[in-house]
Amino acid sequence: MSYQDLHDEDEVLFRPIYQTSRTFYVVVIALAAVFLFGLGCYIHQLFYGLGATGMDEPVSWAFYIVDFVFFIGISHAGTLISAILRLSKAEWRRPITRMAEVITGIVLAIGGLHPIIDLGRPDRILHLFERGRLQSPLLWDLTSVTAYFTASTIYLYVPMIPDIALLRDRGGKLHNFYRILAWGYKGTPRQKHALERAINILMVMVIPIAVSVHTIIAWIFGMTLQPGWHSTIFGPYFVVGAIYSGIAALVIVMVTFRKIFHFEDYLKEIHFRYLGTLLLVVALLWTYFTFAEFLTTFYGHEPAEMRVFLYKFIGAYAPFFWAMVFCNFLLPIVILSNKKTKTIPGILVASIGVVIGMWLERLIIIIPTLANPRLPYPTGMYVPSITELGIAAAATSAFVLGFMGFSKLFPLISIWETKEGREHSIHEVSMRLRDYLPGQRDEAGVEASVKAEI
Amino acid sequence: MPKYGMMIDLNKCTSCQACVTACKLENNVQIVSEDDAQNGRAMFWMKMLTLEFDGDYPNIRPKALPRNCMQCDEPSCIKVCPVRATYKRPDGIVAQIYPQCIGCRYCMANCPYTVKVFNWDRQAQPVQMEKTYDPDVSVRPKGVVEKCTFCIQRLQKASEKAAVEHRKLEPGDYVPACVEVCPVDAITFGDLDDPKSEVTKASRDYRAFGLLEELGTVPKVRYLNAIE
Amino acid sequence: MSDKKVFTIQLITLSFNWLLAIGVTWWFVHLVIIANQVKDAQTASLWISILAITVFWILAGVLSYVFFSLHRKEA
Repeated sequence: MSYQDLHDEDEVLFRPIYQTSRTFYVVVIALAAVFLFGLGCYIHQLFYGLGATGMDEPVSWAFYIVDFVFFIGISHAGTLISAILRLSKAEWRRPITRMAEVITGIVLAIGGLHPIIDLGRPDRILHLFERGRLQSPLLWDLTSVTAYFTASTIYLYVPMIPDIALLRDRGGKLHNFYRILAWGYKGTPRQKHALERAINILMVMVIPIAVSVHTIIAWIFGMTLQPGWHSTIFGPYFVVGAIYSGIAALVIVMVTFRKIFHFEDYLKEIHFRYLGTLLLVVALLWTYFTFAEFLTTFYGHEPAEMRVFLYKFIGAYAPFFWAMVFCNFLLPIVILSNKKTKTIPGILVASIGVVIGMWLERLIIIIPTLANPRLPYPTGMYVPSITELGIAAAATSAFVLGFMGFSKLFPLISIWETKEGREHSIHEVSMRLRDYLPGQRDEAGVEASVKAEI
Repeated sequence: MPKYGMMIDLNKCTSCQACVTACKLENNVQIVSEDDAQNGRAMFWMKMLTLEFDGDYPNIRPKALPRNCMQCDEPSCIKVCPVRATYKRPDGIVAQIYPQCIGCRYCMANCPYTVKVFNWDRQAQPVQMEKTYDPDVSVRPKGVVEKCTFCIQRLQKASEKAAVEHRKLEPGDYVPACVEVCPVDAITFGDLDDPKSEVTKASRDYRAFGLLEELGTVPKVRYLNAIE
Repeated sequence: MSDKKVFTIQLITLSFNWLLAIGVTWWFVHLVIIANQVKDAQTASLWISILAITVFWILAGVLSYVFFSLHRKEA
């Protein structure tokens, strides 16, 4: 019996690590080609300067910053699902948390690089360390993204230790790699307790860090004096948008890997339905924020603000704006509030819509404000160049590549948490439920009824 | 310490754009290619802003306004710069350190007047320009932000000259190129802290206003409204 | 691979986190000193530094706690 087939109860979850299909390599090569093209675009930009982009005088921030905000937004999937669901003891989180945390790690690394790509003089990046000025929101951003990346990587790694130990115990080619990473975990009660405690501290810590990251990104815009940006609502608005796109991205990732690696037994329709409900709630919250933001602007009717407002509603950016309204408001709310369409394909369509819509939202937040300065300058239309599109494509393919690489090293669904759910949580949840109800806690009775049910 | 400021009289200004040209020559501001200019990458430190048009075609009279850096006393560009590449000197001039700028363009995004320009690219300059290069002004590399500095090199020269002659800097020793070249003397320049200077007198005029003053940027370049 | 070698490599990976925490601290202290020298944005620098340094140290502390409690010999 080889290490690849130990007939574990959760063998399906181990299989992707040991078995690789040919399609996998084909996809990797295709994505690597896209990535190399994007890398080439960046090298071209390094030599040619930012002139290689489509940016111009009033629109001095464009695609890279849009992608930066978008990617960091996606990264909020990890925190929300894992930390909040773990904190609220939502039992259905078990097969979801790992993927959510992986999204955070990979996307943060990609998103965090975008401001550097956007620099006119990347060779002077060290000036930030040498003579940085902490009053600038860009430095807050650098700090909070680094903190979030560190926190979320630790938060991904620590709950993964028992799974790494399982992989180590199986042996195989990467035995030493897993041995190093498993940190000597043997599953003794004391080790379990320490791990649990660390996870508890981390999940409480990671929520404020995550909220701060997107608030600070919003503040990059909110702290300026520009019409359309200078708004107190921006911090929470960006956080809600980030969570919104994060859940949508998580659903897409889950559906994809469910199909490829046959996780149907683990990611059931009920998980998607719960995530769909969460998505619906955040969709309504996002709509509320958007409505509040635009209504106050319109009612106040300040000329500079109105120029930006009209540029979005009926001007050059109207197609993007109304596409965003469709993708972020109409589509998800219609699909998710209807029981007939709230199926896995339906939720997937809504999620794809939301991811596109949230990208458009970042676009229409950033560019119309820059395109309509306060003083009467001629406004130009911004058109991205091939360099910018190439780098955006490379960033997306790097995300998929990162995920594929991860799936070949570690299980995408937390195995120990699934086992724990099976072995302990049914009892624990019954006990908890008993505590919620009036009357005395009757351990023996609950135990008997649980046994009877199993 | 003086506090330099500027008053531009819109009654006198004829929108001849001499200041725009003089500024460009004085500060070695790059001349970009036609393509780039079409794409909105033309570089001007001093720029004519067309505010509105009076009258009906063909008898229109454009109302224009020469706009350089407002040299704000509360500059919003300085607040957001992550590397202290832009800073306010004790004499009130908001200057830019080109070798320190990392090109993040945050200051451009935060300037309510949109005065900052970015070197998207470095292009070969027309041969005819060779004779006009100003040796006192550094040529900016690509990838950095630049802006009007009230011709700070002229201040440098004037104060050095004054020091050699063992005297104090006097009003009129130092004026930016746009002030010097203006054929109708529409621009007054001087020390705002000196109650007797021409610029202080002009700033007390009832026609005086500052662009977007309501934002609290306290611009030191102010205007005298055009009144018939 | 011997146990000792594994442990050394593990210790090195853990030390990267401390390197980050110490690096960030050093960087922020440097920035606060510069802010003080040029008398520019001193209070903002100070408070942001205190906040950020705490976060990085707690994170490194949590990771070290996990490391050492996993490696502790069972009594």
